Amino acid sequence: MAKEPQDPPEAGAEPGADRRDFLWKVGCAALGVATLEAAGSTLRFAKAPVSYGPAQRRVLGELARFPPGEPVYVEDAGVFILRDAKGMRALSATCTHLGCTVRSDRASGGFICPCHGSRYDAEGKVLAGPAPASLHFVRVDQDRRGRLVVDLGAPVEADHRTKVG
Amino acid sequence: MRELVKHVRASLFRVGWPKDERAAVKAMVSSITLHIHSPKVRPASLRFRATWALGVIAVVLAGMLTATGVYLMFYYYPHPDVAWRSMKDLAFVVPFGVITRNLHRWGAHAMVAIVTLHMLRVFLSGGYKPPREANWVAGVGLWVLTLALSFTGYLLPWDQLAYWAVTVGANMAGAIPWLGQPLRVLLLGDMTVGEAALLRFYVLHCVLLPLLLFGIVGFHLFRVRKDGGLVTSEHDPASDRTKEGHRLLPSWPHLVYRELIVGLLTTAVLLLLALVANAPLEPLADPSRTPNPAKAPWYFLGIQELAHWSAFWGGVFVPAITVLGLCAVPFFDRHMDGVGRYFPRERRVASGLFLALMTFFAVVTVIGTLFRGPAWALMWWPN
Amino acid sequence: MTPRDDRWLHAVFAAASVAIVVLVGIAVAREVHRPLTIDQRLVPALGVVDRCVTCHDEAKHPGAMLDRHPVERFGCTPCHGGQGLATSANAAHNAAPDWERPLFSKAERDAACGACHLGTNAPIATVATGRKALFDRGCSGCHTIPGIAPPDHAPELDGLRDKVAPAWVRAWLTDPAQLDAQHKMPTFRLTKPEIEALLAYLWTLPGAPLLPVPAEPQGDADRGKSTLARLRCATCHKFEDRGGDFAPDLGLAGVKVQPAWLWNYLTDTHRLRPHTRMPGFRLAPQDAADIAAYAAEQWVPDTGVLPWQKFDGDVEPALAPKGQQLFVDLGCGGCHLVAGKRAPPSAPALDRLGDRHVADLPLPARGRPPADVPAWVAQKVQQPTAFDVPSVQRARMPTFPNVRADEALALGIALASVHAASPPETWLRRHETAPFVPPPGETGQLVARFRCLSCHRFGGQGGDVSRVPLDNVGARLRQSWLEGFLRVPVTVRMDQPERMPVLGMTEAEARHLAGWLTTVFGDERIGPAPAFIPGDVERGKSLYVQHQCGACHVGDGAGTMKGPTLDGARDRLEPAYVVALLQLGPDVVPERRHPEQRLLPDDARALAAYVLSLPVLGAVPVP
Repeated sequence: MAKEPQDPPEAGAEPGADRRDFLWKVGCAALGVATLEAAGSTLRFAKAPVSYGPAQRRVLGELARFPPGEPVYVEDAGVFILRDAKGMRALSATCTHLGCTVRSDRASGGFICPCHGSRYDAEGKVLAGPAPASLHFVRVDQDRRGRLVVDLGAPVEADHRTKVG
Repeated sequence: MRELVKHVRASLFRVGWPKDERAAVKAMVSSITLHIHSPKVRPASLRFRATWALGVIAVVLAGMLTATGVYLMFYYYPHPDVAWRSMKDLAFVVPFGVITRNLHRWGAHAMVAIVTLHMLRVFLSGGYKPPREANWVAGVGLWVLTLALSFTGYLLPWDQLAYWAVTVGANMAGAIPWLGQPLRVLLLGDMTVGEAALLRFYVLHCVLLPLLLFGIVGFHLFRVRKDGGLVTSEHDPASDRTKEGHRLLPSWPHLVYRELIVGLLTTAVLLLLALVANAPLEPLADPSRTPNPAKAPWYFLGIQELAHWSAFWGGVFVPAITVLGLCAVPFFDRHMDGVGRYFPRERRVASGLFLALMTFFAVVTVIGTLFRGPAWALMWWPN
Repeated sequence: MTPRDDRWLHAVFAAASVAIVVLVGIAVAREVHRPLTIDQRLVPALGVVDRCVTCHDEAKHPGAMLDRHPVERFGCTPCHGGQGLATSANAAHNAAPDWERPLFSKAERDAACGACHLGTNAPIATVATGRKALFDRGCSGCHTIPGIAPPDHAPELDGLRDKVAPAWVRAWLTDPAQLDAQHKMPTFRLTKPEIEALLAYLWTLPGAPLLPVPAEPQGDADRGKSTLARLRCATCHKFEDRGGDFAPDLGLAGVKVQPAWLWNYLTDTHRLRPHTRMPGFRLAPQDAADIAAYAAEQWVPDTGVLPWQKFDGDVEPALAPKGQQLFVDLGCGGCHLVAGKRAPPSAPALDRLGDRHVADLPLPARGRPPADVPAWVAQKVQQPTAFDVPSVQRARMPTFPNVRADEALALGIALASVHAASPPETWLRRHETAPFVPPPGETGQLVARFRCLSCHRFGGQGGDVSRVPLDNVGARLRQSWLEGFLRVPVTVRMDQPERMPVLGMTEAEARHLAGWLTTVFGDERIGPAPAFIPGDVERGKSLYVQHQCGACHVGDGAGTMKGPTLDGARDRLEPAYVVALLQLGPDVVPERRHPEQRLLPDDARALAAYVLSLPVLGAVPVP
């Protein structure tokens, strides 16, 4: 703030001026520290520690719903389930450009984003359009009742498959 | 670079850090915030016992309540399904949630008390007399607004205390002849306290009443300055109204510095309170389970105590006549003898009557708060 | 403005600023330990936010409960109580001013199961026991209890003056245990004047007029005894210290009931007692007189003096209005029908005990304060007088005879499972079907007359004398066999003391009922009749040995009688049922009384073929 935080006028050269000057400086410095503390606390306060939104881990349903072959889209999780002889994979349907949900494109067998026309192949590799990267694969597992569970918060490599049975 | 800093500072602050009295005056009039004060003040008004700093404390509390209130709004959902859960989240998961809520709760209680004391002080020193009639009425309005803000905030935690206090409070309003029931339904948005009432109270508490309060506070402070500053006694040697006169002091730094210190002290005390005492929370509101006794907020317990004797006379007539009477006082009691002093001989009737009224309300409030047990029966030992 | 002021101001300024720094610093220090993220499970439909999983690992939950009740669907607190929102162990586990429900006790956990698992057959032992006891003990006579029907086993009181002597009523109301150690009616701790008043009121109740007892034929006690045996009265009644306790002790009844009333009752039961559970046996006058003669000889104590004879005295009719008031106040009419009507509930409805906190319930004046609602109920049932408020009012709740501690607790658990608001419909499991409504017309008349549901259950409702519910009786039994059984019930289950009584049905009645039972009470799990192929019987015989069927059944004259005899089963059992039983296991068997053996279709067919080839060898001769 002010580079010369001074005594109020009138203090002048009266006796005790040094001590008053010191107290004034202590007070101002403390106020500065308090302001920093309050600002830091506000940032900490604002970071929500719990989420009431939909969970990252979601139960997709019985295994039988996902036969090998065509990718199966699960609407409330936003993933395509790809199943082949080697196992299961979950392909996030969220476009890597600006987060729209891609659709499967029958003509090409891949995926297409309705917002800005990004195109992906059947493996989620970006082919064209503004998308900067391929679609992400996320972890898919079975719970103890054998149902398929996807964890949207856990990206995995494209060749990471989960054995099921 | 130094140049740039200089330019930016010059563009923000029209005058620099004042070095002499002339510059101080200039600083006061050229800043939008400081301009609310006159450039110079009478030394008599700077004395602590002239105001007990109650007005400044009230303004500081209002500021702190606004700030903490905005913080709380980040985590509060005004719906019966989740409102109480919001309180639990503040308690259990939100960093600084507990202290924020404590600051807001204790600040609200303190504000009701401070504003009431402020009114008492102004009355005793004759501060409502000409030319300050309008400002006194505005002050009474602010007092009522403070109570209304506190009352609307009372419901928001949606615990048993909130639910039943507001149920009782709204039913006391319902005792007003003819107007009561429509008014009650208008306030609650329904026949009983429910999700409509919660939303209405939320909007009133967070938007409508604060806006009104800020507006009237602006008017109130403006009129303090325009009506000639604080009321002071002609017999006080420190008052410029005395014949020999006294040098006026520049508001910078004498007034501003004191206000800053009062603000800091208020903050410190409130912080201390918020650290040592947690705001209470009761179980989730349960319309099927009335606590016994069901009590209104403490500042309405005097009225509830009176309403216990007669719903209309105690619950409606006495509070209404009190507020109307307070507003009417400056237009009947206009002589200026003894103004600016506490308990002067010339005003002993007015002081005595007002003190009696305040004491009466204090006594019934204490009875209602501490000495009323289940089924509103008198208990000789408060629990 | 004095310099002194200035000095103070600076000191206060510095002190206040430093104080704020320190105070905010303390607030910051308090936040340091807070975890950055908190794990939680949400069940929006139940309003559940459970952060228990922040500390507790759901994978380590003992038992298999979570297989059927996964945490993501049920949360933790619906079953365990406690405060799911809390993030500290103390706040999560214990009660606080803002959270009245600490972690559930074992009893409260059982009650929590009962909130979703409705019905008297709920798969939680305590809940099921408690719900049955609520009915058996007559709790639902005075209290409205959702899911519990009012009791049907208290005798009607119409024409009581024709049935018993005043002295007997006095003795019964004073101390029923002295007359019948197994009595079921609770005692109301009545004073002598109250008993006189009640007696006076009861003596005003009119009943159906008694027909005169013919002078001939004379009753013969010995013949009466053999008639009782022939009709299998011992299934429900006790006499000579043997028999069931579903109905009054016949020895006791014999000396208690006036002979004329008894004769009328036996010859036309439902005319005197239209709501009794006892079937209408349509006894011949000779049989009735024999039984009455037999009964009159029973139960004379060693002293030769009947214990109620000292209570002799006249009834004072003037006390009747007072007695009527008392009858209403005590809620007698909640269990005892008068003129066919049940009195409205006389005690508080027990429709939300699950929502109550034990702290809100009245404390017993003596004894330890109960820890939870089930314990409170248990204490109230076991010692109702402990809840007397001295000098204000005495407890109206009667004292129940012979309440075991575990039964009392089960009662409390069953009541604590009742909430004002049920969980959402999709969470509910109803362990009984809709109440059985007898069909109109002749069938209904027969069912009412022979009181099938006094002993048999259907859809979880009805009496529990018989272990054989009627649910799929039509799919299990052959119509021809059933018809014969209804007329002359042969004993199939040697291991059980309860035998079907000889109801005295006509041939036409038996044919009608058997037809109705086999048509209506089917089972969609049981398929069409099997086609046996040659060789099945031989292979089935070795399977019979291999599976050790003889450990429970009698077959070919050998084996034990734990299960029903299989000799002659071909006349009794539907082949499709035998195959389904062997294939599906105990699911299709009444009461699930069969080992969990599920045979392959071929084996099941072969074993069934063998079982159905067994001739009648060891069947009990028809009495």
